[in-house]
Amino acid sequence: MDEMLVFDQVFAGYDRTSVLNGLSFEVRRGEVFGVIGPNGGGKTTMLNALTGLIRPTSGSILLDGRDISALPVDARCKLGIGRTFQIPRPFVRMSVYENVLVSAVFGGGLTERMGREPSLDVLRMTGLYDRRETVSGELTLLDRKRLEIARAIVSRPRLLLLDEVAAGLTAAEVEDVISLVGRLKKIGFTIIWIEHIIETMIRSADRLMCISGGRCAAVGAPLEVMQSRVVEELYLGIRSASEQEDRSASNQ
Amino acid sequence: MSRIRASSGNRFLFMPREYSTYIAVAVLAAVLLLPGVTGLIPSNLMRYLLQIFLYIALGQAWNLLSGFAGMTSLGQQLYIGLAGYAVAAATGTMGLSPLAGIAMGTGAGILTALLMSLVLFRTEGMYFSIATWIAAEAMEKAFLNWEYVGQGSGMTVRIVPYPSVRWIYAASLLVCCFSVLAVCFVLHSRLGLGLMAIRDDPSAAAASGINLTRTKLCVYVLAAVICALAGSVFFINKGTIYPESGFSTGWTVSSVFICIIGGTGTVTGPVAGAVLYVLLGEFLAHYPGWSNIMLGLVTLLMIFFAPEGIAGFLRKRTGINLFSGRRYPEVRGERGKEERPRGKR
Repeated sequence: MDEMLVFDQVFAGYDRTSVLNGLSFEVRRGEVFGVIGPNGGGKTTMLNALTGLIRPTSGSILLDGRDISALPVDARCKLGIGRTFQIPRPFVRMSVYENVLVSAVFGGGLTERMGREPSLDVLRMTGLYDRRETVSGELTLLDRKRLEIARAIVSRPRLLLLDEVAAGLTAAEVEDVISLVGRLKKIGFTIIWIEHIIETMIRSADRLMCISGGRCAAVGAPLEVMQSRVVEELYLGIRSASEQEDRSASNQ
Repeated sequence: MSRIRASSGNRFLFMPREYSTYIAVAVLAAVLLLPGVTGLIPSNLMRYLLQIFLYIALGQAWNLLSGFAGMTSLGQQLYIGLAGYAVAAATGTMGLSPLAGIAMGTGAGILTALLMSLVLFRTEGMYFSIATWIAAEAMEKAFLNWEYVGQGSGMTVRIVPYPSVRWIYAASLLVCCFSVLAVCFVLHSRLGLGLMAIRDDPSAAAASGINLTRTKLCVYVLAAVICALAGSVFFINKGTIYPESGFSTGWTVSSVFICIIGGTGTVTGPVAGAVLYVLLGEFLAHYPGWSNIMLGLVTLLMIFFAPEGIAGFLRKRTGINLFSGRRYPEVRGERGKEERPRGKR
């Protein structure tokens, strides 16, 4: 299958702390690639390395065969990487419409006049059309998350990165987000989705990867990954029967 | 929830909003220029007005940096002083015309801003503010020890015959109009949209495709040009320049006062602030020991009771948002065709 994104032995971190320790994986065109892992495992750092907020110390990140690991953040956005932030970061003094227009103009390379209709279309799609003139700093959490998605997709990115867009939402709101991601997949977006809500990942992702210690611990079909021993041990805190026996024996 | 929409959307007085802005500024400039150059305005009043015009320009420059781009500079006096010295050197030492002096001052401002950006743009927030202030202080010390510019004794602007107050009035008005129009133009342009995003969240702005360095550089250089133009005309009016007057932190204090009183993040704010600043300054000149205390008190009162400044206060009360850089999703006439907004706002 066609590989859109390749992480090849990427090492990256903050100051002198290395968070990604040789992370390698591929994302295929048109798939929803779910990412799970324990806190501090390197999920958001992986997104930051991919979008350019931090530079890898070694390894390469290939987007459609081109090494993008040295490009600045804005250049990566223009190449077709759209992202949402784990904690929504709207332009708080600008309206919802202006927030989306910024991405249409700068990320999508449109003029303001040309960017108007796509911006309104995206607002309709994400359910924010009625709040298009509201100051974005006054939105609810759900609407802020919707705005993050709207801002990320208006530039028609090749690769859409969702960072815990369902976190902190009610069950009904999570359903809303799942449905929105489903529609985006149908349109043809390739999506990397980091999420802690396992059920959401199993329902939405085509493939799932578990990151731990800055490395890929497991990757494959969602159910297979969730049932794999390494994920049970690392992520869910369940130890294998043999390990438990070993531990109890050593305690005795 | 509050909406920021004005009833007329992208249009104002039957034309696109940005055109109406430029026409309003041009008409106002003509109304002020004609009686000035024809001598209908008394010289004393003209001196007050030209001060107001120059402070409007300085306020616009500081507001552009801090209010719209989130780059709080404490060192814009660097460009004011440089331009003042350039005018004095051009007219006094080189024997050039005042216009050539203004051009030299502006050129020096652009060049210095480009060089300074290499260092300043490596800093952010409070560190950027401190770095700009230190740069201006360092320049003052350098000029204090530079023999060519007269060290501490300063330089004199030598123009024969010396420009009349009408000439200086007209020049101040032009600088003022240039600053207002330049800021309006920036706000209505793609650059302005990017600036407002950077002000709110630089990382999210970069992730939306905005080149932070290029956008900040454009604004920083434009603010330097405005300060250089205002500084040139100010020191032509004054006639002499010393390191302490050219690079005085008082310029930044004035600019900050003007923007806080008038309202940051608006084009009309610095206009209102400059008018109040000059009038208050003239009134308080009769009470020497009290002037700074009173200015500080007024600033505190404004921060407590009208933090959005005069322009923000009036906008809240009247709903009128003049010279705004807002983008609206609909234009007049199309609103009826659009789906009606529903739900709580």
